[in-house]
Amino acid sequence: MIISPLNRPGMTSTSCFRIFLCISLLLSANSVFSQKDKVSIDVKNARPADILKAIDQQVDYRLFYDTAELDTARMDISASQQPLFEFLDHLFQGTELTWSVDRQRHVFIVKGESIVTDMPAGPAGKKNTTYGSGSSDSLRDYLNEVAKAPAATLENRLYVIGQKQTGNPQGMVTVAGYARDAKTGEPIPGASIYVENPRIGVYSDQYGYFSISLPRGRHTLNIQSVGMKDTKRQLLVYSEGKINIDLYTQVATLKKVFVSAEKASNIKRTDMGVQKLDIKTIKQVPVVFGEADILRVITTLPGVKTVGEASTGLNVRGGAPDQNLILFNDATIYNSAHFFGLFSAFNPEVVKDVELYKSSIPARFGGRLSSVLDITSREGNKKEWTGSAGIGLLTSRFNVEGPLVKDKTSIILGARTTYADWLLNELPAQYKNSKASFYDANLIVSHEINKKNSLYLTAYISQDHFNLNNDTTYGYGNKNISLKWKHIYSNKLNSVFTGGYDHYNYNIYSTDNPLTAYRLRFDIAQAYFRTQFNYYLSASHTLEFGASSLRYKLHPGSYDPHGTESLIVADTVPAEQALESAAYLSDHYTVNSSLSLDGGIRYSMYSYLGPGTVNKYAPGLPVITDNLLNTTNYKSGAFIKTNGGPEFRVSARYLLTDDLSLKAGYNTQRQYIHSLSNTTAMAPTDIWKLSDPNIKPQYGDQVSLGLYRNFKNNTIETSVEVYYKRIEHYLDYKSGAELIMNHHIETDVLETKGKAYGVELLIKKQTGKINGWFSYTWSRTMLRQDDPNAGELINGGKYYPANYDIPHSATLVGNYRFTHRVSVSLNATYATGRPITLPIGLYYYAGSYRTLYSDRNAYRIPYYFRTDFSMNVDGNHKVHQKFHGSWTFGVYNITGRRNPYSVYYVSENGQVNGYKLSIFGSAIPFVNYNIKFN
Amino acid sequence: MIRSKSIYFFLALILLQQACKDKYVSPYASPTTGYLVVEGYICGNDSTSFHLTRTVKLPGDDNPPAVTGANLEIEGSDNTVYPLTEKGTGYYGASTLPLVASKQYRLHIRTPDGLEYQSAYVTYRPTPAIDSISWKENPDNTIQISASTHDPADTTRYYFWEYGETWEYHAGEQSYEVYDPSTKMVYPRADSNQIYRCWHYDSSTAILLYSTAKLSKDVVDQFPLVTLPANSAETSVEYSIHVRQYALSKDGYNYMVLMQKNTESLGSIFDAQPSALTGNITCISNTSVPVIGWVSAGTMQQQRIFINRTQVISYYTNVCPIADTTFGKSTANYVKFFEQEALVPIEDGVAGITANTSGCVDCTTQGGITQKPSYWP
Repeated sequence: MIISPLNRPGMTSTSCFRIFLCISLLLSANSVFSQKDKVSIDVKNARPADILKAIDQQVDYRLFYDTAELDTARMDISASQQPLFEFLDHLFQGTELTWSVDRQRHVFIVKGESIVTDMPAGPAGKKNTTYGSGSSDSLRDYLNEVAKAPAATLENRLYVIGQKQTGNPQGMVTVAGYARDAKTGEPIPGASIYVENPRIGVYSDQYGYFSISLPRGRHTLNIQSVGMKDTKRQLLVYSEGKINIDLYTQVATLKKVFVSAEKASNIKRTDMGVQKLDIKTIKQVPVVFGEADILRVITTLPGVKTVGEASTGLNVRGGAPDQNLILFNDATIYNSAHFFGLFSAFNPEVVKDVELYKSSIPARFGGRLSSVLDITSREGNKKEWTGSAGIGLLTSRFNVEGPLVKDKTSIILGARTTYADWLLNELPAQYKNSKASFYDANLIVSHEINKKNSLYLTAYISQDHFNLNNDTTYGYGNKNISLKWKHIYSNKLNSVFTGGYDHYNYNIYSTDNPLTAYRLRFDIAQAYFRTQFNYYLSASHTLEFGASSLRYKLHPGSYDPHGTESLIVADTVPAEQALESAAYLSDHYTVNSSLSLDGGIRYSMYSYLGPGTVNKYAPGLPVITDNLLNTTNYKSGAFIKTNGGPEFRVSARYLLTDDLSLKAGYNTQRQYIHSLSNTTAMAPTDIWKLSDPNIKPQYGDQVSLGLYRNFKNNTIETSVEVYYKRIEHYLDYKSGAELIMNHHIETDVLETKGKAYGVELLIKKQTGKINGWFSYTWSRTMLRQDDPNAGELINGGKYYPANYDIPHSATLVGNYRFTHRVSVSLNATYATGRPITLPIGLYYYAGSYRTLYSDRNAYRIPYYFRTDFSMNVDGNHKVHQKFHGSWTFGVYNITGRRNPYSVYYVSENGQVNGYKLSIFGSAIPFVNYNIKFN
Repeated sequence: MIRSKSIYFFLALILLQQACKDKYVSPYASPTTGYLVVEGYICGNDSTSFHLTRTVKLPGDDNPPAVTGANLEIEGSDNTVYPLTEKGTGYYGASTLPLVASKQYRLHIRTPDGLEYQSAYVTYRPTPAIDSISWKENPDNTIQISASTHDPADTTRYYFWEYGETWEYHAGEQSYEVYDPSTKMVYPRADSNQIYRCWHYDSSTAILLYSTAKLSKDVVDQFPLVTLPANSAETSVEYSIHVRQYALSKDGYNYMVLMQKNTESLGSIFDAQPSALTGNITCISNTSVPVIGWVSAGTMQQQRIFINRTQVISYYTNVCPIADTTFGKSTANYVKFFEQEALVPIEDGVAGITANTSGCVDCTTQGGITQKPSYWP
């Protein structure tokens, strides 16, 4: 089809028109409603082409049509100040011509429905279709409208896939393609793509890609995804072929919603213990200072706990914070906290969704015991430039995105910064010189080279600085870059190659006394390369396999004089390096419509590499410097010690009824890197340590069982999961352990065994006026150090609760939408107090009573309870408005309860006093203003 | 602008109420412990003294229970034995012992409950002399007193300090008269009975430790010992501090550091958890009985300095908060003012007896004693 712009009298009028358009946009976004859209005409015996030519000069719309398609019959028509759209309807009455208009005020006039000869099946040439023939109301809500227009065109159209063949019409063929957001061109992961008869279904991957095996013949392909309008395609499948599917955002409806069974992936999916939250949901949950915080919202999920408000360290199913693999577009983020843990390191404006795997960890992930938190960024709008900005009390953020090459390359640039110094300056005199600041920036570029090749680039940088009431300055930062190449070999086989570099460092310096001024530095870097292949073997088998290699380089610490006067002796703990490689294979096997299995094996190999010096201790004796036998030096590149072993990832799902399923899973994990921290909260000064001949890799396995039931047309999801977990070689610390600048850290740590078990309950309603979830977890985490040769028995070798053993916790996250523009959210959290070591008595020494400690974690701090409230008010939803503002107001900790963060005893002026420390001692109101522009 | 300022002020107020600490009383009853606590130093250049007490339950309002009637001996690696004698309730000591620098020593204890305790052998460590005890007045009207020392051999590395403070202060007004309730008469006050000049004693309550292990030279430069408010009673007349310096072994230092972390350095967001302390004393009759304390041996170094109020920019003067009362000399007045109202006579003048409250006239009501110490100038 040839669409040619109407001939215009010379270039000048076109540019004038454009200039006018720009000016009108600048002057007022609302002026669009006072555009020239009326036509007056009175012609007789005129050709439609002439009529269109005449009216084109009267209105602020550009008309596009193919003269060949227009009727050659002459007609009489008259109109006086008639709206354009009304006029067009009148003009084309009784003909096959239809019209549509997009946001740039281009009016397309075509014969019949738009004909799409090639894939993708999106409304080619009609993107951003706003108003079409048949829409009498020309100012309808854009979002409501888009879904309607193509509904008639795409869902009823028959797509012929492949070449008609004369041979045997039997057999299976694969159809592949991308599910994308029609508005922005971004991929839609996790969309369910299925046919009813025979029952065959797949889910799109994180790039929106899917591949489905279908018998040759006629099918109705259903496509569903949460938050998107359901759609379907009529297919006539001859041989392998492609079909891309554009989905439209579902306008949040306030009416009753039916969620079709397929959308209820919690029932159908094989994996368990997986929770996915999209950024929209995350933004609804009120958090302190009103800044949408991914990690805080994750803590409202069952099985996820945190030790306190000043910590974004997550404890997933009784795991330590360092047992979580936090990935941001495949990059490992070593420190996910900003500003003493009050903020998480992820800019909510660039995040698309977050997936937490706490039980069925896919075989492609490895290296941490407890969980994988997979944070995926948005890909950026491939259609037009948009942006957003937000202002809060302590932070501001800015985000801009758009196509570098339309429909091919998109870019997102997001940045946040804080301006909290003013706040610290208002503090009492002893905090007067405090300073704290952070920033982070993200750059994400995705580029479609061609239909078979796509590239994704992610760059992330974050930096924190703080200095509290003393002369010691702390700084830490993450730097990450990753490049992914997705290649499609065929409908059955595709691959993703990822390479990247992650870096985390911190430094501390003090210049208080010139003689002892120092600088302490730590850093860890890792370079990695991963391959992943997806092979859609048949309708019942989907294989995933790949390999990865990760090289660590860690500088455990360097302590240097700062300034010329300093007497500090430079000291450097030698660098450590290691290579962690893995290969994996997994199969998703659909046995029948009720039973499906996931089986995976991952073999990981870890080598501690030279150069390095390894201490050897007398066997059977405590690892202390007195028992040091000898030290061995290794050359650069030497394989000092190699560990490794298989890891199993198995899960099964059995569908009892359409809305009830039973799942079971078993998985094993190995972890070769440990964070060293004897503080309760994750501190910015925590360091990491690679496994070496003296520090064994951690090993864990978990068995879990779950029951999933949905109610009310799948609008309410419920689940109960139970798990039992074993942990080996988890590090705890000897009394008075020195972790920083320690040249023989193995003498200060203790290997412990752990066990964790619990029950998790989740009730979730994702749609409707009232939505949200309630989660309850009962769980225990116990550690044990009973090896008398380790040098120190903890609690006499009995099981003792881990620092993050929190038996009961319950969270309610609720959201109520009054209108499309106004919603309120309420968040309530209860948790048992965490274990603490309290004094069992007092002794008098060095001029003061002092506390006597005995067993670790024998007592608990008081319970935690907090309620937060927030209200979101959006500006109007007018489509053509350039700027959309929204306000968030709220109160954190509305009851003002002084939730204990810790309880401690301290000797002051000869007396022992007990204190309860709370991070927030009252209700904290907050306000945030966000603006979106395009 | 004004409006935005007030918003900031409002926000600051909100945040000031944040990170807050409240008194905490544990709901858990502490168990009975009664472990032996041994504190002292085997000293080669001064008297040796050990204090034996027992651990108590929280909250520890009373003095620690002393262990009396115990038998203490210092044992040398050369088989020398020096018994200590009980010098006071729970205090055991000996005058300067003829210790030898090349030998090792340990403490042996037999408590009256029949248990026997013994410390590990410790190396006799000479302590380098104190270079100076210096002080400076800070702009925020505090006086900071610091210790400096160094070891030319660069071997000491681990230091521990204790101090005793003495300060002279005066009552708001000087009393020249004394009331005798038995005779109900006022007499001139004898010098020996003066209540105007008092000396207050205090001692260190914090663990004062420093290590030069990470420095290229064994130099301690102005280690802060104590910070006084400048305009307080301490420097209102004359202040004196007596500092004792000890060298520690690395293990002894680590023990004291852990004690300090467990008992003094808690309360921040990123605290290390408190943990069990294991000293170098064990109960040899039952090794599972915990013992608190670390025994070290060596020499002790000491130094005393004085700070006169004339050296201090912002000093403090004790003044009576209320004016003197003057009344006629009569027994009825004496009973009324000295017995019922507990005033103290100041002067016997023409207009009668001048008096004021004991808090103003009697310096002993502020915690000091009137006995002048021997070292006072």
